Amino acid sequence: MTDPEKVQQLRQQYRNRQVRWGFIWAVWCAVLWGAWYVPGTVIYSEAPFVNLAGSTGDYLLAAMVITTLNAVAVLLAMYLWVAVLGKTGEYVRTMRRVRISRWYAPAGLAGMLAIFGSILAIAYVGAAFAAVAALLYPIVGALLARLWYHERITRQAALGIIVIVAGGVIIFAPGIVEELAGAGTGGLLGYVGGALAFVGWGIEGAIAGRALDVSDPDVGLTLRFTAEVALWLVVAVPIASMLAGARFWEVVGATLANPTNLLLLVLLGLTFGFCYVAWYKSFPLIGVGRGQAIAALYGPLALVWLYLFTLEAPGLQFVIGGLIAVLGSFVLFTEKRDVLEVVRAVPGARSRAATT
Amino acid sequence: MHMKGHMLQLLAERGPMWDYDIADEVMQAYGVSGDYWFGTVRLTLADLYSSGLLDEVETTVDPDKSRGAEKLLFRFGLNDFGRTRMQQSGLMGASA
Repeated sequence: MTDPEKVQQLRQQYRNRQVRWGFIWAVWCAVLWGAWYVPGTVIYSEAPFVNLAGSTGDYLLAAMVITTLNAVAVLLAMYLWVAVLGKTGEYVRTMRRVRISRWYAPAGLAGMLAIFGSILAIAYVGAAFAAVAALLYPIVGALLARLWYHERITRQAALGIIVIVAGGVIIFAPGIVEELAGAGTGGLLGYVGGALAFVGWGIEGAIAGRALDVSDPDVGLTLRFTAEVALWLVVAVPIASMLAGARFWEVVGATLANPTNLLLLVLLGLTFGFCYVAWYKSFPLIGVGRGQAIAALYGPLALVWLYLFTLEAPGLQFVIGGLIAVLGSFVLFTEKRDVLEVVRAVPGARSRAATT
Repeated sequence: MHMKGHMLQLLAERGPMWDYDIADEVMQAYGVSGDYWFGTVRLTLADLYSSGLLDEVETTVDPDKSRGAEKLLFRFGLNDFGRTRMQQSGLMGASA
């Protein structure tokens, strides 16, 4: 049956359904991403981390152990998810396509640095800062797309970037000025962590997109976390255990011996793993732009979550700077696109492909 | 070969195909069946289309071809960008 009216009606229903589900997934991403900062903060109040605040070395050791165990927790959550979807075989088959799966290694490295930076920022400056600092990641993503894929930065995109940078200045500047003037709390490393967070996530998105073109998103995300866990276990853990000696393994042992930490790790794994899943599910349905813009709501949501669980009001500069950065994300990501269209305009993609 | 790669290879070898034909081929090749996998293949095609690797060539409505439900069916074709991405990913000429 090819009645044009019927086709038109079904096309409309198909689009409405896609858009509805795309927005639902993107909002879920924002809710879960924002929620991740709660267990990420609370874990510092638990043994052994509560006792690891004496020196920079202690802080770094704590951040490293938390980030490593976070990656393992997310990977376990993703393995469960992929198994439930019946895609475990796909995971193995995709991993064997080295020309595709190799892209998840640098993506995992960049993401690993971003999470490590966030965990550091939580410890040194606070969770509210860590949450809104990462809102600056679209700046890096847009610049890399310009450099690597020769994507044109339109006037609206440039305006969005300027607004995000303005939000970033409000978030970062007061604390950094205090630190440099010697009036701060010794948290300069936390600001470096905040910068690592947005640079790392910007780079991760730009690299992962290429591999996701030709692999399943659920499987791709699992490969990305496999790469991160492998990097921790093969590179970072041996280096840390050389530098910190037996103390490193004592901290790991003490972490796993505390049942509250195990619960927090489950929460970290579930919130972070499924925020990524929801994020990538939204892209084909409403486009990467809208998916990312709505996901940026994680920033204000994180402030709400943190307030609800800690009853500590976030700094005013984080609220204002975060809202400005979200506004900038909407300006950057929602430029003249129909609700449902091809994420990449093919002629642009052709010329871009020709240059890579 | 993973499922998405196999789908791209089918379109590269045979030219534009209807989504239900691709779903049949894929489900047979991977030994799976049912509405879930039919939907998974259609979702993967929507993903490839929105990523700009495929063009939508034609649409129709035929409940016999969409497991009894009245659904919009698509005929997709691989475009130049899709071919380039396949070459970059080692999917062109690789064994299925």
